[in-house]
Amino acid sequence: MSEDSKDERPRRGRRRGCRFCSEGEAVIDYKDAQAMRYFVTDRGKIVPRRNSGACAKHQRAITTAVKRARAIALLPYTN
Amino acid sequence: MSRAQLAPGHAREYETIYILRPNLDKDQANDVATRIADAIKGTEGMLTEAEFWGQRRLAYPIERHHRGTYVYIKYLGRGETVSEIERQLRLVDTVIRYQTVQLAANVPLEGREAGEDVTIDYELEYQPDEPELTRERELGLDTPPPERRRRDDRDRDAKADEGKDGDEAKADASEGDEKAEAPKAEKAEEAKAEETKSEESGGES
Repeated sequence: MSEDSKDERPRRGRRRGCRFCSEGEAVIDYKDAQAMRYFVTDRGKIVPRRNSGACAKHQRAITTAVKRARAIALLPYTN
Repeated sequence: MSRAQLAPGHAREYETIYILRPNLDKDQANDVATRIADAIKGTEGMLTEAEFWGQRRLAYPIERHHRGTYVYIKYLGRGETVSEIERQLRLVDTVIRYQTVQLAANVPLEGREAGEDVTIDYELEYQPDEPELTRERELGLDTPPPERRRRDDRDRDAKADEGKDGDEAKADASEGDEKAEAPKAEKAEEAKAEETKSEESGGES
């Protein structure tokens, strides 16, 4: 009974898959400063996987991209 | 990124972004470009793409500069090409930052004949003498008096327990100051930026 209700609970606004895995939707490019802002918080920290919804592979890609963007001053280290 | 042996007739593909000091003249910028072109030629590399990104705001100051001129180049070559380019970039003090990323490990050189005529066009959207928009000035911190006033406000607000509106109004007022002071000699600006910087660090510690 309780299990059933658990299953039927609507998932509100939660993405299931990694949006970088589904092709053509989003690419990770450290040179695109504007797009890179989605991957950091307003304090300049890298957005965690639970928030970014990325799979392990693409979260690694995000991490390196953010670090590269920081090195050439496209993103701040701190904000 | 394995360090596997490079097959004959193959090369690695790299991209390098370097940031020039703002407000350079054309000769200084082109000097860097020719140095890179020579470095690539001297190590049997091949320049395939060169893009002038123009002046951008830096996310954080580098060598006290708040803006920088970005140049992007893409080329084929071996490790020695990269080390020669980076050596040249280190030698020139007009370059304040550079970064090289390997894009592909094994690219056949045969299909890629282009590149010889790719030159870096610095005249494209080159804007000399753009006033530096410093963060300090953006926040209205470049003039000490307003900052002191603000500090007093903060104390008062803490006591009054209702200070948000007052603070914002102050911020607006100082923004007006910033605009009025914008057209000034660059040296004076830099000196000011230094001042505020030292003040800030003093306050933090």
